[in-house]
Amino acid sequence: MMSKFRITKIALYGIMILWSTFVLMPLVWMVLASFKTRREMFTAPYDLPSALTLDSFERAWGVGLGWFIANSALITVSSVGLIILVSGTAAYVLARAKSVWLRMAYIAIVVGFAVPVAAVIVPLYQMVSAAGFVNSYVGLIIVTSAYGIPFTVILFFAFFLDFPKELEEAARLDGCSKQQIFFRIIIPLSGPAVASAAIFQAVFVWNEFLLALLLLNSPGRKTIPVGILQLQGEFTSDWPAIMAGLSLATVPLLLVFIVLQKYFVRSLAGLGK
Amino acid sequence: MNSPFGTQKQAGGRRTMSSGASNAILLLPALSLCMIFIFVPAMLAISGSLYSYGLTSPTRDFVGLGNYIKLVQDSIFWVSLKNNLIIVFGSIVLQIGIGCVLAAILDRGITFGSTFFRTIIFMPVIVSAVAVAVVWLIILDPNIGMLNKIVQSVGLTPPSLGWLGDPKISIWIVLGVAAWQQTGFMMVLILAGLQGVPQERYEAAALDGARGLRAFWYITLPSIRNILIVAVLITTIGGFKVFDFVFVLTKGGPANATQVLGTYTYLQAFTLGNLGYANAIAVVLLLIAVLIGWLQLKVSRQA
Amino acid sequence: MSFLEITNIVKDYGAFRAINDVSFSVEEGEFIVMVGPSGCGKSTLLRSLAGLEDITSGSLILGGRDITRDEPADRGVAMVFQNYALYPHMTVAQNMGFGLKMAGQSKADVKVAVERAAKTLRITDHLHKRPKMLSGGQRQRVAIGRAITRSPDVFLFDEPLSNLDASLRAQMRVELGHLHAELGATMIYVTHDQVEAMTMASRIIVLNGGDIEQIGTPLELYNKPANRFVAEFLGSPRINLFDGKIAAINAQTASIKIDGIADHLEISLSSDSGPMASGDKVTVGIRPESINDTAPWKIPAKISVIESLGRETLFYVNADPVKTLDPDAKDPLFAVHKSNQITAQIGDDISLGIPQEGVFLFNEAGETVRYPITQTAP
Repeated sequence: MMSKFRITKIALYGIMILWSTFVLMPLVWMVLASFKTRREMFTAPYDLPSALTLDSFERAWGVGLGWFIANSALITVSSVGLIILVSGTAAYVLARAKSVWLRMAYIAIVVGFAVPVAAVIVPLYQMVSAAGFVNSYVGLIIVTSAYGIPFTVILFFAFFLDFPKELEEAARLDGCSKQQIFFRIIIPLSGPAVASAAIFQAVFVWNEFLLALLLLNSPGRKTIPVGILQLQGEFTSDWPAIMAGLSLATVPLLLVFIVLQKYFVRSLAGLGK
Repeated sequence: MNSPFGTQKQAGGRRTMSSGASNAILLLPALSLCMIFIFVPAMLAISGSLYSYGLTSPTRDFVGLGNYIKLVQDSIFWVSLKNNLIIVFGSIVLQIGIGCVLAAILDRGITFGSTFFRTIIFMPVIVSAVAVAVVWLIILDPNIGMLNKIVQSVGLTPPSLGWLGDPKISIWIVLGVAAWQQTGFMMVLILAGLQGVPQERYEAAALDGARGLRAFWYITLPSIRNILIVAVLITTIGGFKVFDFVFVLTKGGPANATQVLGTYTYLQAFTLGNLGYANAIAVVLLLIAVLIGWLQLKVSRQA
Repeated sequence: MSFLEITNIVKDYGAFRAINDVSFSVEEGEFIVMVGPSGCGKSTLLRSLAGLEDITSGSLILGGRDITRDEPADRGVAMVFQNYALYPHMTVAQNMGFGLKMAGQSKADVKVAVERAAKTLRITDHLHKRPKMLSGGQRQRVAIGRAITRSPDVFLFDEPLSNLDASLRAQMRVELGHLHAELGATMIYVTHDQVEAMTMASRIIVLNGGDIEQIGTPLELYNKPANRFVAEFLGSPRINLFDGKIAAINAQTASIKIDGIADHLEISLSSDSGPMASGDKVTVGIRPESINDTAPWKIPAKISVIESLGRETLFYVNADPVKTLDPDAKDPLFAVHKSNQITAQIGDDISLGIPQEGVFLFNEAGETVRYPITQTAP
């Protein structure tokens, strides 16, 4: 009996280690390769780098990686803020709605979640360029936010449905208007939902590619995903530089994740409702 | 008085108006953003699909259903649709299947190191699809790529055209890279569901003689039914939304073998300049999206 | 005009009518308890008074002012919720002062009002704490304190004690009674617990299916229930009911035939008795404490269950073939209450003496047609 139990345990650990290695190897190699010289990359691509050279980082940085990161940060922070604010208020109204109109509005937003950017990209690009918002941060922030809203509304909607109704009623008796109830009672008590939505949307906006590719294409205004593609295009065979650029673009984010992983994981728990 | 934002009050007066007005203030920003940037373009895509025009052409020629007639005869369109379906069903099997197994092991199989494994396996989810694709481009490189080395070291021959260069293999490689990135997401999602199953339920099942795999089948799976449905929906929606991986890994090649509806729309619109035709492809994608959105709604009502 | 006039209130939820044309008035300083089974409309009525539900028709006049369509906060009412509904992110003091703060009162005024209310409820020591750190009883006090702070014209209570354990509930009942006397405030209180209704109310309103069954003081309702529903609702254990038929009747007496008993039950009638005729089917009611050993008319029975409570004893007895009318019980038993300790065995024979003075009669419509002759203490 005991040995059967142990064999099972070993098998289970084996599965976990196998998949973890599969997941980790490309990432570890990405970092290691960034320290190699171009020659080393061809002679001994999978050995440890012979010396820690930062040349490839310099080359990658020279493409404008700093700008890419700054652009992505600006766009992520603004979009996430906008998404959380408008989705939160909308989800609150929708979660308390009784009228047919409001129920239809919710249905429209849920259907909107399934719409791929690629399916509307032609008219969308024409609209944005007709409005003169190509290569404008504001243009990309607003359009990206629009695509982050449906998921966030769905997330908040489920949370607000479970929100104790009596607290809102007490607030009405205390003289709060609907806006006051939302900002003074609901939001202070929605920390987990807000954190969860912010994490999801930060990852979504930071990594968003197609909109950024089309709407911000002047050299100084690219975001990281678009910038990485440029990097890859410019350094066709300079793999250490590409890897260095990828490392610079992803490792800080991965470190943030490792520190906050508890919250990332918790934020997913609300999805199954 | 019967404003669309009213809350169905019988009598009029101050209440109805102010309640409707505050609903509007809270709801309209999100609703109008969605309308302007999701639904209006969707409508324009539908109307645009009836015309033939280019990116810079000043006029549009009405062609009726001409674009659609072209579409059903276009083998690349059918390949794209097939590839989307391969990614949808392949991802459900790989990502949810493996995610489920990993989550079950983390939940009840092992205790030591579970946070460590969970963190590592979730990590790729944070990385942008473009970065993932570029790293894998190098790993899959036919000259110095790691995968070739591994395959050779176990005595097999890697495909002569390269992993992404062989039209028979390339779509499956795209699927695999997607699984590499997304499985951690599914694992954590399912794990959250598993941890919500009360311990008493397993104890009751143990008393009834269900343990191990049988407990998993009879107790665990039914208990996380809702989460699994959400997982399938998210994967399906993601499978039709897929763009970044294909765009960076293969650009739809070789010879359009990995084209999906998203990249094919992009190709027709921004590379070939056939906006009307691109819109027709997009409309097919839209119809599928609306269908899934409707399914999602049905399911979420039920849950 | 009364302090609070509630006139022809109707509340529909779609096709379902939750409150059916209800009218009553409340005098200043009264403690009104609304009771009834779940779904009777008592909570809906209270929430309509608070303004949390919009009524379909009818009017509410408080202190001469029409508040029918006022915002909840403008009505001069305060509400204590079943789950307390304290704001978890605010301290006790902030919770209590929030209403005044929203009304734009100065910080100093809010502080004074909060401290005064806290003193009344002896929660001054907890003012800086968060609700999470308090016990159930303390949270309940804070919820009441929040209402007091606003010094409303009417206090509304929605089953405020139902989340407390039995002993704390008894203690809070007494405290609420004191508070009512101390503040002299008008209170409307909803409960499904008849003990709370009997012990605290100046007047009880019994609701059923959206209608008022009866309004009156606790003893009026207990002794002179307008109908079978009220008689059944008040009193624990429940009143014993069984079927009978009027065999003979004149102005002074009625003779009632009970199936399975040879002798007829002879009942005296008085001016407050309702119309009855020979041959009518009636329901006979007798409260558990009215059954004694000495009455001449007896029902033979066997003891099924004994509940010895120390100072009192409850028997549940099987009086087959006489069946009590209890829709919930498979095997309907008579309840007998004795206010002393009695040693008896299950299965013992017992004679249920039914004194004619204690008998209720209800007609087929459920209306009371004969009340017991109440003996008030000398």
